[in-house]
Amino acid sequence: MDLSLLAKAIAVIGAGLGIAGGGIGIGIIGGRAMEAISRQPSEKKDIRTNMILMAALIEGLAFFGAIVALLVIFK
Amino acid sequence: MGRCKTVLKNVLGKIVPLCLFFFAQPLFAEDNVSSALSSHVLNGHGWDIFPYIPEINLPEHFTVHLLMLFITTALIAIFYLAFSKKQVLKPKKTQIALESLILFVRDDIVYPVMGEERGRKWLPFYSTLFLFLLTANLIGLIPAFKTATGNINVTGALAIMVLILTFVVGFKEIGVKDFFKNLYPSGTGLGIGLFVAFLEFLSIFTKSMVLAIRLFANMFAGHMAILSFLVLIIIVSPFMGFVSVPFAAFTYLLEVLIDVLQALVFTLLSCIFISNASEHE
Repeated sequence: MDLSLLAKAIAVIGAGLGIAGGGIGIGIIGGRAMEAISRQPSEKKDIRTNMILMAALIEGLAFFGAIVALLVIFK
Repeated sequence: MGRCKTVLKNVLGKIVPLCLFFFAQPLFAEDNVSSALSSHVLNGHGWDIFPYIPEINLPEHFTVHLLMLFITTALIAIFYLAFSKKQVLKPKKTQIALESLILFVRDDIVYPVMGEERGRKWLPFYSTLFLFLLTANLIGLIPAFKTATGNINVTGALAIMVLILTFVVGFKEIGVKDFFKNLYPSGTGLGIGLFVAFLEFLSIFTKSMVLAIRLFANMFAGHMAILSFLVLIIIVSPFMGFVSVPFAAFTYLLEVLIDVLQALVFTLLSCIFISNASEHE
């Protein structure tokens, strides 16, 4: 079996796992932010800014996974 | 309501298909699929403007992304210089639109994070950063233009600028000693404290690196996704167009949202990093 092909396949699976983790995290953030907004509609603006910020931080981690996978695939 | 419908009809019926046609431009020019994919997002010396028209060759040391950066700067400079010269009591539509962007940066990004006093001093820097990123991101969606922020060198340079500012502002405003003191957690033992301080010191660099990678990956991946849908037409069959063109149009519209969001996120995060490093705990 071609080992480099195996490495590529595993890299793709790894990228998928990383993105799944990021998705779970962003889902939790979004859900909690919606909950907070429905409790305190007056604080909508602050909550939204913080939500985007936290989502962006998690997204960065998900992209790390994707970039590492890309490096393995295109190397 | 009727006007809204007309605008929507024009956008969906005319603008987006036209843009997608131009987006598919590399597919006409290149001989295989992978080089077409890479020629859309990668840097180069040839600037392809219209399908079937030979590409313009730029001089040495002058690439397409550099040209895009110059165009971005020129656009911002022309618009803002033209409208900031005359101060009128009742501004026109364009001026209101341009001013609202600055107000957005001031009221939603800089003042909540830095406070009003320090924020006023730093507003020019952050509004410039935001406008630059916004224009550079959005310009990539216009036909014949490319995304300069989809190049890791551009985002890396911006992130290095933020990294240097973190240190310079921190040293200047609270002093070198307090800057490193902030890294050390209070109320822990010496060993674990030093270890945490080391990790905190490293995290200054990691944050800036992720800042660069986030913007780069978002822009790169978004444009790749649009083009990948269109490439399916060549790979699978022409009838795939009925599926992939609507999907590409959807991704294209999503990309407009992502462009604005990433400019906001980059500015907001750099604002938080710089102001956190220069505050007493």
